[in-house]
Amino acid sequence: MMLCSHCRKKEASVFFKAIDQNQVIELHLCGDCAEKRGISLVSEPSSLSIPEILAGLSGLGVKPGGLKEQSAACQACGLRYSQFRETGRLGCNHCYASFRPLLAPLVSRIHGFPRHQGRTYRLNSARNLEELKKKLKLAVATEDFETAVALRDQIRQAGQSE
Amino acid sequence: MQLNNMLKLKAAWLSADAPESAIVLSSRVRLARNLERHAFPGKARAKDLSQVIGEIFEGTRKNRIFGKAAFLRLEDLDDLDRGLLVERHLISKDLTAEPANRGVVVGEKEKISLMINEEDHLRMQSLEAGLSLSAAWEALRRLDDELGQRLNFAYDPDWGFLTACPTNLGTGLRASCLLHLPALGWSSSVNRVLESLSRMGVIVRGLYGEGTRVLGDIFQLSNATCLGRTEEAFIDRLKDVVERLVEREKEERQRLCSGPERVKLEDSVYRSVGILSHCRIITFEEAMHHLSYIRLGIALGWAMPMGLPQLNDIFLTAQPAHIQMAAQKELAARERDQFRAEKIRGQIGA
Repeated sequence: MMLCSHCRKKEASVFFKAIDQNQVIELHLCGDCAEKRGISLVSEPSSLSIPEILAGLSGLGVKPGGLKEQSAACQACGLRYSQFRETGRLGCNHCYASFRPLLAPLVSRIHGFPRHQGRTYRLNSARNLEELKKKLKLAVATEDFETAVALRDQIRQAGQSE
Repeated sequence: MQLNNMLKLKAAWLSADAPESAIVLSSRVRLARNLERHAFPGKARAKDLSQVIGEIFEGTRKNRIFGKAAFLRLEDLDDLDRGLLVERHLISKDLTAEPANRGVVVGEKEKISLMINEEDHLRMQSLEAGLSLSAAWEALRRLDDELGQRLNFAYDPDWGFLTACPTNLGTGLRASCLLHLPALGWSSSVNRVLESLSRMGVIVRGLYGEGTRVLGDIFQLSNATCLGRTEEAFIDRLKDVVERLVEREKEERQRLCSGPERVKLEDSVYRSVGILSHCRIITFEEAMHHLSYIRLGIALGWAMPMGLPQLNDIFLTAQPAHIQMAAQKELAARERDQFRAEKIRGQIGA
């Protein structure tokens, strides 16, 4: 029997995995401890508010690396990450770039997937292609090969539709 | 009260001649989009918000789909007009909270509409009668293609369409169906069935959307997440769940009708006919309760004083803003209930 990693009393029934930068955090919790942190198999993903999900993530020791959470601010609109934590709303589309490492675990937690698979939009524009190439370089440098393969496909697709 | 003409128009989604319309009232798909060069509405200055409305109005006017559309700014409408748009599912209650610099575009027969500067710059929706998610999506996909060429949407190859709240990130898609589930409600198995849905990535809410109680056994089912699959995959999954639920409701109706509970059900349905035919004062909640029974009676083929198209119409027009619009003045709650009773009696022909 595997015990809950939090209370160490009851049997663990919920297994939770979070990827924070290059570090994988694995937790095995009992139903009660999981529910207290907003992780439940029967709960609806978006029935929780963003502040609740964030509280759950930080309670589990998912600490974002690289960015200092409290002082982080969007260079374009000035929104501080702490304000996003309170309201659950971002200020502008550049916030996604400014807070990328902080938002990545949250997006995966909400949707259960890390990456968009739906409609593409203007992938053939020169600017987008440039951005994709930059990301591919970064993915290769950090040995994130899964992302690199997806990016390579997107660049190919963009080249074809040009 | 500039929108009172709307009362005479029939919204396409009220049609009773659509797939599964005895159980599924309507299908809706919406897409959330933001313009690249402006901060999201919550953070944008008034000047920016006004520009966003201008850009979206400009971009849509040229579109053939909006040939006969109404382009409205919420600040130019009074409370009753705004209430009417909410009750017709064309805008959200949130949009009316701060009417300055909010806009709405209503297409022909209310099939396609746009909400401007709610949480995101643009929310486009497509509304169809019955279980018609694919048709609703097809119309919206075409609109998204066209508007996407005229406007610059905020997009990231990893995260898709960028939205103010990360819960809408990715496809920005929310598909939903309104279902009438009185038999499941009657046998009180509705909660158990609905609970199992949350495991299939589907959210269930009452008629008015988030955080409201269920009126008239009408439930709204929608996809819980919107990133990591294609738009079609999210829609197909919802469709699958809705179809299964429709089957469960049909089975339950069958079971009620052929069992010892039939006479109890008949009693409730015909009592509802009696009350709506003879009442002199009725609240919206009570009217919904009885209309739900009559809707079930119609679906079971029993002798009812109205058909499905009429009933759908009463469902819509018995709501508070519609009642006051029909009375052509603002009414206190008691006067409203009196006017509603009179109007419903007239519609039934009692």
